[in-house]
Amino acid sequence: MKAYMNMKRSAVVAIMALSAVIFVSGSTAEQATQDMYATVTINKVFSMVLDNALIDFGYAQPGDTIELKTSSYYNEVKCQANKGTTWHLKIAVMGTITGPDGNPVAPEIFKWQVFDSTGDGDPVKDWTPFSATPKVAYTSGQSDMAGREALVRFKYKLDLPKDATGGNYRVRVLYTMTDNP
Amino acid sequence: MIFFTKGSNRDDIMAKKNMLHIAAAALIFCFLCTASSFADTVTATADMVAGVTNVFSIEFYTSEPAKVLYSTSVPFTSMDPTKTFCYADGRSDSDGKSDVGILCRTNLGQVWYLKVNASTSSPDFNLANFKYYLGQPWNRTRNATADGTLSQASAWNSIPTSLTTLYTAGQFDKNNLAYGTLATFSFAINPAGMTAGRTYNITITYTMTTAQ
Repeated sequence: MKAYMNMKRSAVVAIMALSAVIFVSGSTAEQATQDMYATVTINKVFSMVLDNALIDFGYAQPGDTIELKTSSYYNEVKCQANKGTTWHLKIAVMGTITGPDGNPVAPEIFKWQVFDSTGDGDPVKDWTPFSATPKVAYTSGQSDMAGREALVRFKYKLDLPKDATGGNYRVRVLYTMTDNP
Repeated sequence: MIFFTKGSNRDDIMAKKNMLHIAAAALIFCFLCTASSFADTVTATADMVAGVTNVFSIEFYTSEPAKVLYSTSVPFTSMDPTKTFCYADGRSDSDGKSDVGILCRTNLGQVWYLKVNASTSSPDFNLANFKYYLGQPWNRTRNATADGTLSQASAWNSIPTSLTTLYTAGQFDKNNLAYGTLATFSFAINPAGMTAGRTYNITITYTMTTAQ
């Protein structure tokens, strides 16, 4: 009988201990996890701004050569792109040069060159005659492709032929920034 | 491949709708991905202007003094009164020289006229006895005979006493820079009626003009 009572007491203690474990385990802090996705969108930048849209040589004598701002640049093009692709800045004349007698004039009398640039790309620093076909004046470097602003500075020159007809000459210059080679 | 288990008609419709939504979303996603890789081009324009000064000038040609002897003064100091035709000093028949060269330069692109008139301060001198010879001018820029027109055929003609067109510019004369069109004159005098030992003055005016 005593042994039976001891067994019964042991059983009760065991049940109580188990109940305590279960109770304790049931009162531990609950924990849940949830994934959160953060999306950051960097806007594409591909822009160009020209600071001076009038290239004025003034008046000259036939046979004269006029270089605008011999020791500096005349105007600059601000280019910015962050696409990570190589881009080019091209320059051309639009249509024909209108001379005083209405006859087309060879665009080669006007020339351009890149004076300097703030980018890490490749500028064309030789005097280059204008043409109706766009010619590459600047090719972007690594930093230029990564969103850093690049200033490309131009100079211009007029080589008037000795038999230039008197009057006014006018032509429109087209600057194109493109990542299309 | 997407398989649907056969279910109710409504389930089929819903499944098809879902498939359409998924396809549309995929298309939009692909478009957005591709759009960012399109080539970009931006442009700007500027106006480039220049003015060329007008040139319209006349001057005496003095670059070849051995061939064109005189400019502002043509001397006749040894005329033989027995002759009817006297050249200026240093001249003779067919010597290949000229007395005066008139160089006309222009870039106006317009027709111009070379006009001449003569006057004298010696009232008893008959200007009809003062002769001039003008050959076809020479376009020095093209290094060729000028393409204009002489009003009179080249011959010994009496000098005009009123402003008279002797030469009308041709197409290439309208812009003849840099070297211009050269008109060379020779002169001769018939001394009939002139008094020996007396000085006679004759003034010749050369005019280049676009006015006809």
